Amino acid sequence: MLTCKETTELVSKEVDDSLTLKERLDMGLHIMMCSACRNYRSNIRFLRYVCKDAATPGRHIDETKG
Amino acid sequence: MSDVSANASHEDLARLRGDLLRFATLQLRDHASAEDAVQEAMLAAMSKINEFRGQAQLSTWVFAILKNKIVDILRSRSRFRPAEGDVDELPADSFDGLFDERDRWSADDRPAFWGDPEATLVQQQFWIVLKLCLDRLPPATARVFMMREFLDLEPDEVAAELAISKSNCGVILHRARMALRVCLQTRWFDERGSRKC
Repeated sequence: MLTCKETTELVSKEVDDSLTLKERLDMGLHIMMCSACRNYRSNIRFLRYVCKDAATPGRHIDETKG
Repeated sequence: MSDVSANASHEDLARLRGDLLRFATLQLRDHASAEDAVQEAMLAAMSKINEFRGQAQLSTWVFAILKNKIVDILRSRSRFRPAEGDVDELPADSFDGLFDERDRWSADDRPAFWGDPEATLVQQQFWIVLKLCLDRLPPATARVFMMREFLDLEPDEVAAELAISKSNCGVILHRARMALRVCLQTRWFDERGSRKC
């Protein structure tokens, strides 16, 4: 059984590289039972999403007015 | 023939300036280099202004130019730093406090659900908090994160650009995400209380 700390490492590895079948199964099992790690994974996806958005031209008005 | 107004204009370019500057400043962290990079990208776009059909094409192109300039600047900066030291900016034990003795999340640090990113994106204030969190990352860590998530390079490209190993790059990215997540949680989501659906 993976610890939460190990799971966070796999979440990054999933994004940057790829997981082995064993890693994928271990993470899937952990995440199924651990809502905190489930949220962690979705937070990291959230973070990637907003970064991608910031790098997309023309979606924002000039923040200096804010 | 389509209408003449479909061509991109200098006004279109001028309108993009704020976006470009915001994007560059986020990554370069210093206003002067950001201004320079944006200036260069705009000059390059201006020389070809008549070739663009409308604002969308112009902005895609000028952003691509700007991204290349930013990669160049980040790459040249990394030459002046010892790459091996980068991973230690956020040491392995930086996040130990988030976990208990069995490496499970401590009760107070369990990640919460953040909701729909689209709903967050429209809040201007969020971008200020994101910038603040990015600014709090140590410089080499931020550089790796930016190249990966903003400039959209693959991890091995980032590693090659900065002359670090791919595994080192992976470790830095993981710690950057850990740090950013905690920062956004405390500075944005906690501040807003439970204002989510």
